[in-house]
Amino acid sequence: MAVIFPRWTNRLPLMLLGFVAAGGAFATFGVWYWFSPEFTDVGYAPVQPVAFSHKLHAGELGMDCRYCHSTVEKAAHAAVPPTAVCMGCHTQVLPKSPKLELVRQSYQTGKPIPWVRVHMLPDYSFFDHSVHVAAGVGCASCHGRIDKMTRVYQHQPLSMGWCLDCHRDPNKHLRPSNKVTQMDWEGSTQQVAYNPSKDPSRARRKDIAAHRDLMKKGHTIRVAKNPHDVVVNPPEHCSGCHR
Amino acid sequence: MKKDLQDPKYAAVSESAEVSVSEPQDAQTEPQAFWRSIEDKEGNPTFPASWDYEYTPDAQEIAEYTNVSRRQFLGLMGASAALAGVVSTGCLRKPVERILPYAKRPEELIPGKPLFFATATHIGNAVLGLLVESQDGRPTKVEGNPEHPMSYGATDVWAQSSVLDLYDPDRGQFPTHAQKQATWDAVFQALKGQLETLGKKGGEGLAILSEAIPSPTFHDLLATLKARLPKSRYFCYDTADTPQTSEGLAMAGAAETQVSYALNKADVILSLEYDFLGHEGDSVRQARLFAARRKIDKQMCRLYAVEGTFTTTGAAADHRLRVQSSQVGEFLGALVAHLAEQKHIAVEAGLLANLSKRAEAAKKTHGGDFAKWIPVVAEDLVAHKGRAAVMVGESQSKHVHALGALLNDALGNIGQDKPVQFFSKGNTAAAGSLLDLVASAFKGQVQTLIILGGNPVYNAPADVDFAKLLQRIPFSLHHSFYSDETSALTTWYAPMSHYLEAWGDLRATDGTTAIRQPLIAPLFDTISEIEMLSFVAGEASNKGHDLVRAYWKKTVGDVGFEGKWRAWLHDGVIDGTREKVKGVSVKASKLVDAWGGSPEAVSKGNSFELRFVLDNKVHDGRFANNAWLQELPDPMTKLTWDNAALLSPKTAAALGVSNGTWVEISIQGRKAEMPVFFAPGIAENTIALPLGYGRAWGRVSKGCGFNTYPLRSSLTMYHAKGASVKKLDKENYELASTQEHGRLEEPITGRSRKDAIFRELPLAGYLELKEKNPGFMEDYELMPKNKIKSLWKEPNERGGHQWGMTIDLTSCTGCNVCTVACQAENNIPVVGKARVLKGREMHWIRLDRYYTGPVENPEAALQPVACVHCETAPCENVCPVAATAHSPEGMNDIAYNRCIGTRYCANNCPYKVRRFNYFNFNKENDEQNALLQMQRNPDVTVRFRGVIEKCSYCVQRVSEAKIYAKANGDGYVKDAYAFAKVNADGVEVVNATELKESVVPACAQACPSQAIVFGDINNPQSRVSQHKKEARDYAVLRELNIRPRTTYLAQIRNRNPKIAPKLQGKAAELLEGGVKPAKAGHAAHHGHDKHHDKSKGGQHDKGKSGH
Repeated sequence: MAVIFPRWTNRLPLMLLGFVAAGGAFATFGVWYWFSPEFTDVGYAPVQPVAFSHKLHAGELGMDCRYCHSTVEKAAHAAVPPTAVCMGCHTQVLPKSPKLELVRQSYQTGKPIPWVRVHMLPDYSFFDHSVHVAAGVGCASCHGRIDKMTRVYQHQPLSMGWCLDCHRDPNKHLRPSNKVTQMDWEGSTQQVAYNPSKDPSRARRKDIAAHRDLMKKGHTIRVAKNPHDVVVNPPEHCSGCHR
Repeated sequence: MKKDLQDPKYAAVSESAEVSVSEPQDAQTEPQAFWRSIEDKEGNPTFPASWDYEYTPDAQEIAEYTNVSRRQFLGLMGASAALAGVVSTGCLRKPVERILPYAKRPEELIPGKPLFFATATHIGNAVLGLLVESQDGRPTKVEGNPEHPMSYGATDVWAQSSVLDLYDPDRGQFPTHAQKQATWDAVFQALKGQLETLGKKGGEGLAILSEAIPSPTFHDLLATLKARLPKSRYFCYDTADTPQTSEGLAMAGAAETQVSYALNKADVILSLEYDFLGHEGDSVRQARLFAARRKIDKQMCRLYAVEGTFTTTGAAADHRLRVQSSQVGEFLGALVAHLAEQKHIAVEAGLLANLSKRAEAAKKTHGGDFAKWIPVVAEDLVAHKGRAAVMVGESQSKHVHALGALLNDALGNIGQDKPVQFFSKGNTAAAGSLLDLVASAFKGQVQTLIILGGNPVYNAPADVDFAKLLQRIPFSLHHSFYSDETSALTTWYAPMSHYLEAWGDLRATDGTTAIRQPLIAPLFDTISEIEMLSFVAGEASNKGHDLVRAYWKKTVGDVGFEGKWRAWLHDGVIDGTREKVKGVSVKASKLVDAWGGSPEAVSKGNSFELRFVLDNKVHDGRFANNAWLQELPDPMTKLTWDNAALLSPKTAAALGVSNGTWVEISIQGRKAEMPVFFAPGIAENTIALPLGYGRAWGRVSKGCGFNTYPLRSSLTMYHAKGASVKKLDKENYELASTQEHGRLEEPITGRSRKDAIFRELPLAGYLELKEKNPGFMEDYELMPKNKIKSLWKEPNERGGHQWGMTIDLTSCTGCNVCTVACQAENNIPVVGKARVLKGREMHWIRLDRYYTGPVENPEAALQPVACVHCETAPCENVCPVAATAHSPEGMNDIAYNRCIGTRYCANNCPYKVRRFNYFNFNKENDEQNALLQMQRNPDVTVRFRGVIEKCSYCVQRVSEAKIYAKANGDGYVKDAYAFAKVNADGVEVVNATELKESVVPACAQACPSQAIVFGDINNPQSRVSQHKKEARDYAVLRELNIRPRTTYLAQIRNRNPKIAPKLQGKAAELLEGGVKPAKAGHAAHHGHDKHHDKSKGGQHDKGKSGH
């Protein structure tokens, strides 16, 4: 009698199990890896109601970021400018351009332009621009080369792990305070030469000094840092960002 | 280790159960001094069994709540899991969010940065200057204005919760005519028609009835109206206004004046049922000035309270005399008689004769403490002549007020730099009373009635049938914030703006006037009381802004007005409006007859005295629709969502009633049915009836409590004699009292834990102990310091800032404002009565109230408890997902998004301060009131279902200060109290809203008595560090070795040795027992000794060396 199931089929259930296990592991890995903001969020570039080009304004015209995002040094939000700021120039420059119809309308009616948010942090994360700017984190470090973007897209994952990477080792992302808005600073020779802990313009702040003194005295602090390199003291505990 | 185990002190803890069996408690030295309720004191085992559970077992509730059956629930779960799969595969992206910038951004506005505006509010004639936070144009949080002398930067529960009223969906939104929606045009047309008709007769038949509105512009408009229509009449009725006070002062020869107390100048205070720390007078100012003299390092004042009900003032008092309300006046009479007889003061012979006669009779009736108190209090008052204050409360008749003024005058307490200060009455319009209005209306003299604010149909005295009266008036207009019981019966209703929406001005007791500045345009189509009155008065402009400016331009002149106006708006007070203290000469002539006759009868046996009290939460009912206030536990009874007939346990026993038993209270043929609730400390045969509940209207207020107004007649506004009480045969009513929530197992070592949790000492004893043995607090501990061992390596976090808090129990007045301020700041939801009954209230701060002393006449102690931020927090170790973790600055953080709701942390928290979102309370609240979202603090996460929350030390404020310091300063957060300024009144004020580099949490900022202090304990100069160095600083539950960052400063009462009550519990042991040498030997013999830590603290080591 012919054997219906050849001998190798005995191993079939085992192989199946192996495939399922491997497949499951792969699927788990896949979700963990590819469903992270790095893959789902980076590159998000929604169409805006007004085709505002940062490439033109920040890049070619060389406008400083703070001309429009004027609250960045004072508040948590680097607020999108009011229409009045646009109209400050555009009553003179391209006053009749059809592309600016919505801007003119908004200025006349007082109704806001419904910009689409690109960088979306969850509501339970409380990010503050002012303190990052004060510490010398460049705009481009998080937002990328805005001066080269015709339509703004998300450049970094903005995930918690990504935040913490910098909070744990901030020094290499710091610049002198007058270079914060400079788009091409990163990768420049200046940057390579810059060592924030040797920067005399960074006054040794009291909290850091106190921190250092205590560590010298043998206090252990959960946030372990080399006291000689501490320039800023970003929080790494929950309530640093979650309130 | 072996040595430790053999140590009797150690054994006592590990084998405590065995101990309590083998060795019964020594009743002599181990009485439980502090107790929460009668059941608690008497060890009554009739607690509902569920109270012993950490969480009430109530799995069924989900079905009740969502109307979803178990099967449907499983189905839904499956469906949502499937849907989650679809979403997570990337088919759907996060929803698109819009950014809507201003088209033209207002000056000074930075999106996301709050602005503060100065304004003011009032209840009756009590004005409170405020700074209100505006988040992108939405008023979100109310703070006190440090420049305003009625606030000094603090607030009360009503001001804190008023922001919720602004977003109340039940508020009047459109005018109505005959209960149908109408337009404002129709209102004005109708009103105009009326005024034209009445104008022909000089305004005859026009009556205006308002609440007490201490606004100069309002009264100026009344004068304009009077000039235009001379025959029109103005009436005033306000339950918060007390005509008997001004009548009494008039009787004493100080007509047209009002009293303000500078309590920081008083060494001795005698409160005659004057709840000055609760709802009477300028309570915030009074609490601040009183607390200024309750700091131990300064000369501490002494407060005697004579009262019938148990108020928070009575709880704060050094001595409290419990007499029926009607007898409080007799006490004063007897006191004055005693002082005059002893020639300490001079009193007119006729009056003295009357007083003496009455005093004799009264003393004979009362005997006991009443008689004993008189010479003692008299002596103290005389010893502090010119530095004492005698304060008479609203419940007392004008005779008592007049006699109080006379006594203050005779003792030289009145005047500039004296505790009792008279100021002229500012509001000039002559007002008739409600009874005058009723009389005219029934004579047919009122054709048009305009009611500005108030709710007379609900809160008029029972003998005034206001509803019937309204039927007799052809044209009645109710202009008020709510369309309530009165609006339902008037021909017209017009909605009034909230105080945060309308221009106005408010004059405080001492004349200080503040511009009431709006923060937001009216949310609905409403106008203010000034605007309405201006229309009636025939003013050309009816815009509040113009009216207020016009009045002040008229008053101060045109020159430089614009600059002045801007300065007033900025400061919140009008410069130079504060008046000089008025000299008064008190005359006794009118008092002679008033004090003739025999004393007021004492209610006994089957006759009861009713005491109508304005509620600690809903006041006279005007705040009844405020869910924050309804859910706030009353500071004394801990009742939420209800009122009840409060009576003493003895009276209750005589009636055969228990908590929740229905009774029928009847007086002069008027009846009310309501449940009773035990309130130890109330005078016998007194039934306290909180007003303001039992509303027929309002989504929140309807169904809450019982209306007690029907028992209150115009002759017995505050207390009534001759009531009878009948027990009804009805099923008990369930009252939601939080007094037994979060109980601790005890006793743990045969001793009551509560005695170590709340510590109280008399001043003299404290000073003595401090001198002799600064470490005496150690003696309270259930576990000596050297016996405390840790299970793990202790954290050693001392770098940078280390946050901590102290709560001074001596200063705390139990006003509850911290709880509401916290609720407003931290987006804390309300849960409703049914869930409070299950112990699910969400307040981050609870106010624990303990009684101490005999059940019949106890003293009360109040202790606010929030998360204490333990250094070795037990909650953190048990969290399986590390959602609650420690910050390097010593804060116990929660990452809500990480929490999976196991509730292990709450289970393991010995203080029971963690709250769990059993349901999506915030979403429910939002569904019930869509406007509520406007109140939310954008700096604090709105918590969702299934997560734990608790006090965060206002981490959002800490973060803001740190960010500000890092971005603008030297990176170091400063102590707010280092910037405190002592103002011209000698009061220390902290301008917390201006100090961007400092942190003041919401509770500390609102606290009128500055009992709560927060700061960096790493900074030895900070106020909190200073407090922690005090000898009376202690940690609650220190025996658990969890090292709380919030510590308490023991309550010190400034006892008069002549009437000091017997010391109880640990205080007795420390001060009277002295060292008990026998105990050490005793302990050595008996391995199970419980009195292990009774040998003198600080000497433990020596005493122990024998082991």
